[in-house]
Amino acid sequence: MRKNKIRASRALLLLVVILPLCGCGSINIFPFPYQSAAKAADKVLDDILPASATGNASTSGANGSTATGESPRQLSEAKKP
Amino acid sequence: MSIGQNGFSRALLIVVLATAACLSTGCSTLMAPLNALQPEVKFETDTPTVVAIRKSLALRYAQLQPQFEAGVIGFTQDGMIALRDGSGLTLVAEGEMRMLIAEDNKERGALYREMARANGRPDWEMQFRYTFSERWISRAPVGWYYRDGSGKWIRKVLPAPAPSTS
Repeated sequence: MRKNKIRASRALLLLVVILPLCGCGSINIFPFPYQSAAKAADKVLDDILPASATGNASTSGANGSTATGESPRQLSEAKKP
Repeated sequence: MSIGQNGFSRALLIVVLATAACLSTGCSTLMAPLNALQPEVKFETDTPTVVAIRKSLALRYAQLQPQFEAGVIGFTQDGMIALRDGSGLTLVAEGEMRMLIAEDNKERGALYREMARANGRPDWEMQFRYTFSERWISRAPVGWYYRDGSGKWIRKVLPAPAPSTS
């Protein structure tokens, strides 16, 4: 009986840890990485909108603030259809 | 024996319910603590398609820059550009400007789509679009225009200086 309890606990632990981590193949555990995406966007924009031409360019990869004071997440979520 | 089986069944039920809840909330709530553990992602920005679009956008930027400065065009919140005030343009010039804007927007859309596709997440196109939008607006020089969420055109101004503590 005790062994079964231990087995059940182990199985539960395994499922609780493994299931979310595996993400069942289709679950996105991690949300969109905005900071990394902003850095990538800056890299692309360096070619198009040169930093020297910008008033307050931040090529360091976006600290999260925007011209409007919204975070990229807020901006994005507010505009998501 | 039966207690052990009951315990296991109960545990399994909890896991199934938790998974269902996780799926229904898009994992955003239950997985929030994992966000902090999110590793730095290195996005691919140098695929041939992205490079070609970058070059093309850069070439067109030379034509668009005076219009941005004059407030004729501005950035929108979905990573595109739009005609803001064409009153100073002739009918022909306005038509040409609209064509330029359409060409630019077509390539901007392709850029966001390709960024998502090249990084193995086509479903992130919208997220890339809005991240780029934020960066376009953030990097735009003072005096340029962007359209806010309500559709109102805003002229970028110098940020207010931080109050001195002395």
